[in-house]
Amino acid sequence: MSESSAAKAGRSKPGAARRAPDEVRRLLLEAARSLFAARGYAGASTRDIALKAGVSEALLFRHFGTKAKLFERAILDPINGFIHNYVEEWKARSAADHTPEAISYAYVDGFYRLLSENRDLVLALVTAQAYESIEELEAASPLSRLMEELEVVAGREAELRGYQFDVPISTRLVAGMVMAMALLDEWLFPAGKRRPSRQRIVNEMVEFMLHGLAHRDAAVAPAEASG
Amino acid sequence: MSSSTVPEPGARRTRRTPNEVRELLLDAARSTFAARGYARSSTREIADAAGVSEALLFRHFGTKARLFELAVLDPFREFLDGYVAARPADLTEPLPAAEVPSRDYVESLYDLLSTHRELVMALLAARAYEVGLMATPELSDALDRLETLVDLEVSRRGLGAVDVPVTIRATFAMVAAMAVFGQWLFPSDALPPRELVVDEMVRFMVHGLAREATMAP
Repeated sequence: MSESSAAKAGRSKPGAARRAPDEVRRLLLEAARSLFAARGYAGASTRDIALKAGVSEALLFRHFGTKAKLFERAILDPINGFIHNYVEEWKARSAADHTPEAISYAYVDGFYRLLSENRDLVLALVTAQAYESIEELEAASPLSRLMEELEVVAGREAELRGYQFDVPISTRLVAGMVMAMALLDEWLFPAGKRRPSRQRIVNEMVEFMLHGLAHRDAAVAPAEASG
Repeated sequence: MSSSTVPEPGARRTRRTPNEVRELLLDAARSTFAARGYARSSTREIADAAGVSEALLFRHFGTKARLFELAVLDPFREFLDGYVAARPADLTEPLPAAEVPSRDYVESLYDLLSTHRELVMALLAARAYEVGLMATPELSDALDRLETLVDLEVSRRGLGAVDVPVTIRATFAMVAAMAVFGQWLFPSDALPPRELVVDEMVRFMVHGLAREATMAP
């Protein structure tokens, strides 16, 4: 079996078949996602990823530098994308132009969907953090950087509405709850038992979040805080 | 080593009861799996560490995968059942502050999950990359047994509409995430002390369930 026929085919047709750098990058990220999800960080080699993408391993390194960097981009880009969009959309709202329900629902619904659909990738990330010594991951956990972004929205919401919660910890409580509901899904809702609908799960997490963060003793009425 | 399958009446004094054997095996499995992960732990060394035969291990658990799941999940099942068993006494007394049962639950569960953090990670990793592992319903069954208790709390305290089965799982998930993933969620130089995390979870739970005070939209 010719192990890199795809890669050779790619190289042998430099003219019209040459792919744009963006296209190569996309192919590599796609291949990386599927192999990291199936085999984990250690189990997926850059050689196999390049082969699956139909490009040379040298090109993989030219685009991403190291396996760890490729891993970060492949796993984190979808999550980063969601968080960035969410933060952009909600960080500058005034108290009058949105409800606590809407801002909570948009977060929980979107984040839970994303994590449920990419469960294998999130598992690859947490197991890599637990079992591999990857310098890039050890220096600053990517999850922690995402939480810091979310704090902006949570902190502003607390300020606008006069909620009394610890912003760094609460941000992580809610994100952690959503993350663990997705990752532990098959133990929490095992096959063969009646399972609540996705909507019911989302609604309850939203309620739990709304009331868990608001309605504390020292909270002031929303009207007073919106000034 | 003798491994007769049928325990005769008047067996030797040193013969261990099936429950003892089960506990020995689960303990040995927990320390072996925590240290080496699922793939690199053999049933033979677990049986050796427990001081029983490998045949007896298989008689009790059937497969390595099943032993693994039970070894990881059993401490949580035991805790949940213990929590349910200890609660009815409260009914006869005046209702304690809502914070009391919540703190009791969250704090103990958080400590237990922190203690078994490596095992929970090993379970997640094995689920992702090993074939032949089937998620078992033990944890979910134990969570179901909390329902009566939470229903009662909700009605005694006049709490608003709570989707009890889902909320029980959301609370478990929140505590598990903080215990197992906490160190990756916080910046490594700003990990809050356990007390602050527990306090915030308790407040979150007390207010998250207290919905009678819903603000007008």
